[in-house]
Amino acid sequence: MRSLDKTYFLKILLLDVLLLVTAFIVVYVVDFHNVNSRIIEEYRFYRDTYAFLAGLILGFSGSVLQASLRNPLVDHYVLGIGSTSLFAAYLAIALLGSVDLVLIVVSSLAGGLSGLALSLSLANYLGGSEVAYVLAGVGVASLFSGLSFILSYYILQKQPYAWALLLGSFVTPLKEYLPYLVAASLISLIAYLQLARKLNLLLLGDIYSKQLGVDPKTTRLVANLIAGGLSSIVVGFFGTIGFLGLVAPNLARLLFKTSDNRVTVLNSSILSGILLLATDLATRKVLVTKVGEIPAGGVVSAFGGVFFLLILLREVKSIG
Amino acid sequence: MIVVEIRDLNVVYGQNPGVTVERLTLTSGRVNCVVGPNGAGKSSLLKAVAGLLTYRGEISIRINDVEVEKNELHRYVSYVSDIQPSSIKVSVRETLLYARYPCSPGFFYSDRDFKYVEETSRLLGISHLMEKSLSELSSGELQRVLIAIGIVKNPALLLLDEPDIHLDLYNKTRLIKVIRGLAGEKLVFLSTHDPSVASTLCDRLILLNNGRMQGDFGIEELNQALGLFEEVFKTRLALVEVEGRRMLIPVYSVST
Repeated sequence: MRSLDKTYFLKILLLDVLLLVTAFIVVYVVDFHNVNSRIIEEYRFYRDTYAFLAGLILGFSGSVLQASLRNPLVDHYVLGIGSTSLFAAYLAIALLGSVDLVLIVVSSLAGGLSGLALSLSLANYLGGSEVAYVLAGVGVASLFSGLSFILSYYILQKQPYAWALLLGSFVTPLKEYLPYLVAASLISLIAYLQLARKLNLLLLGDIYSKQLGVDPKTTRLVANLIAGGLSSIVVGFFGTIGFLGLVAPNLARLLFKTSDNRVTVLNSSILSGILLLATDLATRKVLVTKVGEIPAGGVVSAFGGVFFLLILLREVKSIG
Repeated sequence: MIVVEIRDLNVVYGQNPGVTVERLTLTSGRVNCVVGPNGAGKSSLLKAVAGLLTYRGEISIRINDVEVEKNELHRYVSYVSDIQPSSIKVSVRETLLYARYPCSPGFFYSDRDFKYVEETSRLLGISHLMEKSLSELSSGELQRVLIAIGIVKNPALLLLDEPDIHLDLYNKTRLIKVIRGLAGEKLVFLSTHDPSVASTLCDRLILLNNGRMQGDFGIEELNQALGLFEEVFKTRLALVEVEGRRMLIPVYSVST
């Protein structure tokens, strides 16, 4: 573990820039080189941008949730934000009968934040251990993903891609999503700069963070609201993308060997964005020729699930 | 010179009867301690001084006759108790850098932060533990790291809540040396439920029982306090002199 002085931090930043440039070049070569159709170009531009930004926001919210709850096993999906916000968005579509963008944003925000509140209070009731959060979240998540599944039948006519969204997909990159996602990314950036060091103090525990001048309850509330809210919006647009937000922060901590959230949150966001973009590209380019379009969220879940089990095993072993 | 003045203090916390202290003045230059059995209200008293609990009454902290504002407490006062290491692994070095927050709340650490972390780790003999994570430390190591967390922000007032708990004899001896060394320029105020630790380590003993002060003794006045200590701890105690220092030793007798 290294201590992070300014020089080391700038090196990490440089590495991130290189990574992003590489990703940009790869995407250009794979997706935009020798494309003659304006429509295809536009579709791909939005799809790639959204996959990256959605990944970025989920990676951000995963790392913030993990730090504020001091728990490496949680993300928006595990805490039930994913399925509750999707359920709320589907419910709004089913009840009001229209697919309106503002409606989706508002309903998924309300759904996701209530889902988060529900799993957090359940987890506290169960004793507040690391595993309690996972258990409570999984309970909430399976309840509402079941309900979303049932609802998806009712709304198929208004939202033909409702099934793809159950697993998370970028098959419908509507132009109108862009301002929301850009705004959400900007909020993540500001929250990162403001919260990173405060989240470090939360890692030390409430009594230490309080006497070091950071009120733990307020900080946790703000962090959870921002992380929960932003990931809810992503879910409302693209569906539940499981385990990415859980894997990315752990990957960042493993790679840079530090718990410092100035590094973890930044790299979790960037890694997660690139991972989701790469997965979406791969499913679209490779798998589509063999089996047809598979939701990227499904593929990410499959890999993420394995990683999740590995971390879970390590945690349970170290507790016992 | 650092002075803590407590007046008409009343702390009510959880199920406990609460702590009432009418008047108490502590000064730097010697080790102050509050000693009493479990549940006497020692932690509540320390936490109130640290501003971690709400209380009625008045607690004023003055550094060279300048009063510390309530919203500045986190800069000048450290309260050290136990820690529950998070399952996200945090190294000792990171912990100490995080604990510098009140001195440099900017996005980047300053050179002073690194310097203070180095100095503090050398002072407490934890330089070899810096890369370990908190959950990997033994009780003795963790206790020294906790004190390091407390002093790395260079506070004027250091409150140690039962620092001797979980420590073996060797580590207790080390701890006593470290704390005595710190008491020169800082005001050290600690709590313990062990009269022998209190009398070995501290120069001034405040006896607390059921949330009330039972007495306030300098180390030289211990002979007058023996009966009171025995009554409060419900244990026979012996006052012995070792190497010129008076100490209270419990007499564990099976027959009584």
